[in-house]
Amino acid sequence: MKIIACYSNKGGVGKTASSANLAHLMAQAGHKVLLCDLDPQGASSFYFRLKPAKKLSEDSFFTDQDKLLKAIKGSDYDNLDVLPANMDFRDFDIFLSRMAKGHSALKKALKSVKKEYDFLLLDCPPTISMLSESVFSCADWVLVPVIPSTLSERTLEQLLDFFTQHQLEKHKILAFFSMVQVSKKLHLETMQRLNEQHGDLLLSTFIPFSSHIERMGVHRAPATDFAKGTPAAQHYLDLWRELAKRFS
Amino acid sequence: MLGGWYNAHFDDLDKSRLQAKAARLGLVLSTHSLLSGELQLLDNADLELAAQDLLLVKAQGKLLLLSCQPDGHHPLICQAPTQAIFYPAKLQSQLTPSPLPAALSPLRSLQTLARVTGKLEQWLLQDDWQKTCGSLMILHLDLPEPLMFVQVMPCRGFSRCETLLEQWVLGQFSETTASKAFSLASHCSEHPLVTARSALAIPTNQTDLGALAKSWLAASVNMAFANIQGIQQDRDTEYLHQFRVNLRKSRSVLSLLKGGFAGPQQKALAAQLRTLMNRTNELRDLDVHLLAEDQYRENLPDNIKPQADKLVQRLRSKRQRAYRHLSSMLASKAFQRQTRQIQQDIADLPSGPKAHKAALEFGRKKLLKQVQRIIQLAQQLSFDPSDQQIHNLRLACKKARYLAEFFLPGLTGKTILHLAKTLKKLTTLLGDFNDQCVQQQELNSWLLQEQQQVPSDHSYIAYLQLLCQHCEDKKQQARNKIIRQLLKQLTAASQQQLLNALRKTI
Ligand SMILES: Nc1ncnc2c1ncn2[C@@H]1O[C@H](COP(=O)(O)OP(=O)(O)OP(=O)(O)O)[C@@H](O)[C@H]1O
Ligand SMILES: [Mg+2]
Repeated sequence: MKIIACYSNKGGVGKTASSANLAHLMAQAGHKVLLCDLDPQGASSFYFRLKPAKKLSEDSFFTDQDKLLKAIKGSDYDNLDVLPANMDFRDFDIFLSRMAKGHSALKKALKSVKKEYDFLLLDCPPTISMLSESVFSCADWVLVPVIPSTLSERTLEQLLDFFTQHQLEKHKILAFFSMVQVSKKLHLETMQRLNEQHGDLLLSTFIPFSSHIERMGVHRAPATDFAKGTPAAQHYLDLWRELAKRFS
Repeated sequence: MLGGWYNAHFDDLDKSRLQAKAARLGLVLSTHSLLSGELQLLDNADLELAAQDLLLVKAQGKLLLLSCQPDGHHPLICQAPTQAIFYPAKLQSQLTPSPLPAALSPLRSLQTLARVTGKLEQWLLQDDWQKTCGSLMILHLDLPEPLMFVQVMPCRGFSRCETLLEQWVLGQFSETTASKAFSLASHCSEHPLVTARSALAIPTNQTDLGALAKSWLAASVNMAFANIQGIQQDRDTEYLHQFRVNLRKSRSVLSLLKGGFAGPQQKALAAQLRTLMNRTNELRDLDVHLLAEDQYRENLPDNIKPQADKLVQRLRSKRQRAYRHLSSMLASKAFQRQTRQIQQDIADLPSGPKAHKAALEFGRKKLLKQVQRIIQLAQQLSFDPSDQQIHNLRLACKKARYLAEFFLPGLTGKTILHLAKTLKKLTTLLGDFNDQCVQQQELNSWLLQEQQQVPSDHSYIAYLQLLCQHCEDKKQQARNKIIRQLLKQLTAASQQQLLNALRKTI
């Protein structure tokens, strides 16, 4: 089982949109996928029409692996299950710290999940908490959407600094441009510049800004399903193909 | 996961009860028709799928596999080819999950046992967010005794919905009908091709040529006749094909083992079988053309594409006529008399001058001669052989292939196996070439006919000319393949090896 964390220390960059579409494409390709909605707002669960589970008493949720397994829900797509959001921020911190500890119950729970899934996709909330470290160390890959605007260089560099400081493996980082507007000169310039500086960790596929992706909330389904055949869905398919090559 | 066969009628399902129960969980029922109309039941000649309580249904270009015995990983009903479907191991290699109908052609070992009308529906239970919490698949077949296959498709994490569906299903039907697939398939296949498959007797050192030849002749003629009912019912073109394959086999027994039978009677019987075969030529040719429908649609410029429909439409109506003609012939008293007469004639065939010879030795000597002839013919071929040269080679290979099939079974020597494989490969390639020759002749005659029409249909003529061109290209490709294969398989060293190995068997 491979763990992929969709992460950015910036909000609203397309983490959830990407997690949902990629999870759908992976499942369609025949992989067993568990999408973990770690965002307390439950956006990716919402995209799969799943309501957040009733608030579980945080602690037992993580110590009782049965509870975790029971919370997993089948989506309307073959091969794709979702662990809906049912944590508040405090829960999330616990989640991450447990993840960091080798012998924790959570790790055991993940182990039982391990046999069932080929991919675990974590849709992370935007947090600059130091606990991100746990995610980074347990994930096989950290997928980072980047909007090519002036600030994006800063965010990417912050992330790299963080990895350096904590002696994390930088090659886990896979960044891609998100919400790209090719009509914007600024976007194109930024993409070019970043490619020169950080070409090694940037994927070549980008995701364009698209009304189809915005409308995922209306359809409550991945754009790769209800808008398949549109350029936006095609870009996600290309992204998944590029990732699949990296993973193998 | 619950699923099974039930004797019940679709309209008797108590939908409102399910709706009421669902409402209590805040769920709403919606129904979706996935398929309706003609469904074809497929299986191979031994009913291998049905024996495992599986039923393979083809409808509107989709394959469905129904099973009452979930193996834990596969849903009971699944749709191929979009999803991997569970095939019994034996058939797995033959089923390719690619788009139909092309996918069906490599699986000719599967045949249509029956066509029935029916429908497949999916019933979904959804919550107020339109999340599907569980569903039912319901297949209904319009048989004299109504039959349904119902399956509960669960969704992880929604066990209450699953329980609800299961309870509803159990409440609807008094009991499941066990092993329905097998009885259904055999009910649909009360048919000799499916049940009778006698193999030819294997000769030993003691077997006389006369007795052996007669038993083979009787067996292959009977196997051919066993397909008549299937041809009449027109469930699948495979029946006519098998009819002809077995007749051809009988004719080769008659001619290759000539000395085993008395001359005049042998000749008379051969003539009867030939006439019988010829009567089926037209329908088989049309079947072959229609099976190659995809070929008529390949690589066409957009403006010509509609012409392909015209051709296919014409072929279909021609086929309809040819079928009616043949089937009324098969149903006639005269024909039934003729088949009985043939069977009687075989039983009465007097022995010929070589009837007392040891069959194995006779047959293997003959095979040796035939292989020598193939080598001779192959050596005469240039790099651009004429159609006639290839035709001669094809006949020689076919004879050798029959002889090898008749007289080498049980032998496992490397060279002998290699011979069998080479012959098979060569006859297939030579057969492909021949198909293109026949196709070309046919296309040319259609073209000629069309050109004589007043007023002439220019686009249709252009289309036929294009097909002739494609056919010529394919013919050339087939020719090249044959040459390559011969160069590869019949090197001087391997020729010698082959002849030596054959001599040793005698
Ligand atoms: N490629 C895109 N084109 C247009 N709109 C997009 C695209 N990707 C995401 N959006 C929209 O932008 C908003 C933020 O996207 P999303 O929720 O995926 O980001 P996020 O990084 O997960 O945000 P958060 O940090 O709040 O979790 C959403 O309304 C989404 O519909
Ligand atoms: Mg998000």
